[in-house]
Amino acid sequence: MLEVLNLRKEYAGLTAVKGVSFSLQPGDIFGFIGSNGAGKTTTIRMIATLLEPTSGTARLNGADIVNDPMAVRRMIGYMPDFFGLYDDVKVWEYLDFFAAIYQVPAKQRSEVIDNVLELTDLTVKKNAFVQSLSRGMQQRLCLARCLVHDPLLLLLDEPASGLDPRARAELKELIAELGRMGKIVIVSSHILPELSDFCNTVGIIEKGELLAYGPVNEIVRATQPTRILEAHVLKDAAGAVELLQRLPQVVTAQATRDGELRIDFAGDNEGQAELVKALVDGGFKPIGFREHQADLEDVFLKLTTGAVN
Amino acid sequence: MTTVMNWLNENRAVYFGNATSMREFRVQLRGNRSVLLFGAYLVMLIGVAMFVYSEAVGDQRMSIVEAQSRLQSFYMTVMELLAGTICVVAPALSATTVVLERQRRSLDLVFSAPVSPKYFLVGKMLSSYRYIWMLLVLSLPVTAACVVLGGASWGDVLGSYVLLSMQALVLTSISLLMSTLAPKPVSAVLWSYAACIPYLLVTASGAGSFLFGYGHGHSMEAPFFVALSPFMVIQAVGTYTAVGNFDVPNWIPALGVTLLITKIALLTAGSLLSPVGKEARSLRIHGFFYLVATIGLLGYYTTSSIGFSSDLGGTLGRTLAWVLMPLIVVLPFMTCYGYDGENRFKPNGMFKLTDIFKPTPATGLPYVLLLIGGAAVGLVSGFWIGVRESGVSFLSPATAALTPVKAATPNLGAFSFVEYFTFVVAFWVFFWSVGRLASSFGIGLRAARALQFGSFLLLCAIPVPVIITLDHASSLTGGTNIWSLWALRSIFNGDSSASGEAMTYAVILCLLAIPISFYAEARLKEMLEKRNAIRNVVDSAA
Ligand SMILES: Nc1ncnc2c1ncn2[C@@H]1O[C@H](COP(=O)(O)OP(=O)(O)OP(=O)(O)O)[C@@H](O)[C@H]1O
Ligand SMILES: [Mg+2]
Repeated sequence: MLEVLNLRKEYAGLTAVKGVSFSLQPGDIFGFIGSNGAGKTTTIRMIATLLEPTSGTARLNGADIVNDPMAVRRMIGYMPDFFGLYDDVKVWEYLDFFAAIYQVPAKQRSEVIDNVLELTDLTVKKNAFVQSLSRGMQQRLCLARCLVHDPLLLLLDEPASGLDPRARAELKELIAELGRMGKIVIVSSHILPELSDFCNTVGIIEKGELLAYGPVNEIVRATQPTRILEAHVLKDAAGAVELLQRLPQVVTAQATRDGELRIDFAGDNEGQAELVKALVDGGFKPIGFREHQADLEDVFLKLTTGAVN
Repeated sequence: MTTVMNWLNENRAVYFGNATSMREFRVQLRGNRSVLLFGAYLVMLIGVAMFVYSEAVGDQRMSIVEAQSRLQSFYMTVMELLAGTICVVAPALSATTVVLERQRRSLDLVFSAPVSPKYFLVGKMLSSYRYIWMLLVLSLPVTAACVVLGGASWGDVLGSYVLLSMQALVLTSISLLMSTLAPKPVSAVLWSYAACIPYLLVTASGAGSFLFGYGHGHSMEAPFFVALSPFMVIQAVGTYTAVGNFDVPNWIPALGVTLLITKIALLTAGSLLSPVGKEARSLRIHGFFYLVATIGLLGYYTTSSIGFSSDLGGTLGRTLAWVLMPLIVVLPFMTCYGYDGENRFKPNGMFKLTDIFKPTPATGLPYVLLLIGGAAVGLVSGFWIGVRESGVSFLSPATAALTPVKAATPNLGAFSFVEYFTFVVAFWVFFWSVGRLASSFGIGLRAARALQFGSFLLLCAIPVPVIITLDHASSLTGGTNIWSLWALRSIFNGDSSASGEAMTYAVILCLLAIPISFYAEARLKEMLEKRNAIRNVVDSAA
């Protein structure tokens, strides 16, 4: 389990991270969203023990990033937002090097290497030189490197940048698989659609502050106290609007030109059923009724102002 | 027991099967590049050897004795050539290692793994060092030829190789340190040569001054540092130092010194690399003890040259001031504060005695004072031991029983020593306060350090041309004259009035340092309050 406790990082002129706290359980895939300069990389590097926090700390299974960095490092795989590949090295040698510095016993290394290559679909490139791989393959190799020691926590800083849609889809599949394997995965990105469909937890960071964090649907709920309902009645949309506006839980109701009703509704599911009933009782004939699905994009746009440090 | 086992296991992992060195080894062996390089090296070595050889023994009509001496000079040429090659190749090889990783940004990958800076640096060192060894081994055919022809014995050759490889280790570790300091590969190479050349010059002149003083058939007793110069390996091979009744071969203490230099260099590099590591602290501890030991040795070896002049205290005092001058390179790293991404340099007070080895700005001054005190004690004790050994008994046994510091009784100039000591303390306290002031401007850590260093150079150097233009007739030595305006004059001046001048400057520098440091403290406080105010505004707005 990962607990991040009030992490703070100050640089000469600015505070890059201002007291970020969250906690994650095995199997959680945490989408860490923020625009450029929001403080994602800084937070991740602190958790990866590469940067000393000005105050606050984080604990991974009880090991503290400040007091016991070596124990933390054994449990994490960190994939930075750049490659950091060595020249003149073959794929398996690259992985062998990292397996060695992660203290994987020499006898198990070749098996471990085969496994991670299999997982990242790079088996055919085992003997290729690292610099001969395509960008997507290099990205996957970097991920494979993070996996050689079977870490509990994966810190992936913008793993999908520069990938084509197909590679992106494959990466998502891979990350979802890692979640199913019981790992904690932190994936940062500034591209929302990239994260929304496979993360089960999200955190939205702006100017070093975590504006919201929690399971995706809860966040959406919490930040959108009202839901938008879309309905269609057979005729007399204007009359329907009039009726709806008298209902207590309806904040506003409007009809579009083609007769569709948009209702800003503050009630729960029960109230939603009541609303349909009221329409029917009022003699209107609803032929379509659905809840407009607010997504992370809405949440993000609503929460953030686009300000940068 | 388990701690010992852990320690052993850890070190085994560091020195054997080190992954960093393994990876580099694979790359080194890959392709034709190294084969070509080694081939070219061998061809060059053999070519030069053949040329020198034909020059040396080309003349058929010479006597056996003459042929023998020519063969010896041939052997010497080969060894000098080898030494030259190593001095050129070793810094170049290791200077780029760390800085290239930094540039490629692979350092983050390595240090997000459970890798200590020591493991990483030793790996780098081993891989460069292995290269040097290959050069040495490849040169064996040529040196073996010398043995076969009679220019040298196998013992000479092996001994020389041991000494050469020791010096290669020193050069490698110095360059490795420069590689962690430098921002770019090119500057790393330049800095490495800039750091190695002084070392080579100092050791060569130290060794040379002893070795060339000897005539033929001299005794092989010589101070151990003759074994520290790669250019003197042949002369140094058989030398020894007499310790009591034992003749200790000089390569043993030289090996010790080599390892200490290597250790200090790697610890410094390690503390630069690791944001949260223990290296920086351990560097301070080692640094203190090595400084005291080195200066003690210096006091010991200079006993005879300092002699028993009337101004013994003054001479020792000036020596103390001189040997501490290199502090200027490290002082900026200990006094300046600011934010550079690491907590280690966050302002945490002015003067904190507890946890003095923990490298924070607050322990900077206490640690510097500890260094100065340690150096003074080391110098006087070393000197004292030297006096005892030389058998000169101008001190009464009663005085001898006293502590070494007191041994410099007033008639020996103890008072001048105290005056110089005060000067040294004031001098460094003053520059410490300048560093605090520079940091309090909030211009950033690097800029503050540069400012402190620059102010040192300015204040020490600027008066010189000014004084010379004002009055070029006055002399640096002797009684009070226009040169007295220069704070550093007293450490150049052996005159009896010099220590008094040193004392005057001690008072002046202290009087300057006190307001400067308190002003800096006030500025810092103001700056911190402003930051806090801003933070509160930001936090309450959120
Ligand atoms: N070494 C440093 N010194 C000073 N400021 C820094 C340093 N590193 C980062 N910052 C600042 O900290 C803030 C957060 O940077 P960070 O790299 O964490 O953002 P990010 O969310 O990862 O952005 P991106 O999406 O562009 O990667 C930025 O304003 C940046 O300028
Ligand atoms: Mg980033």
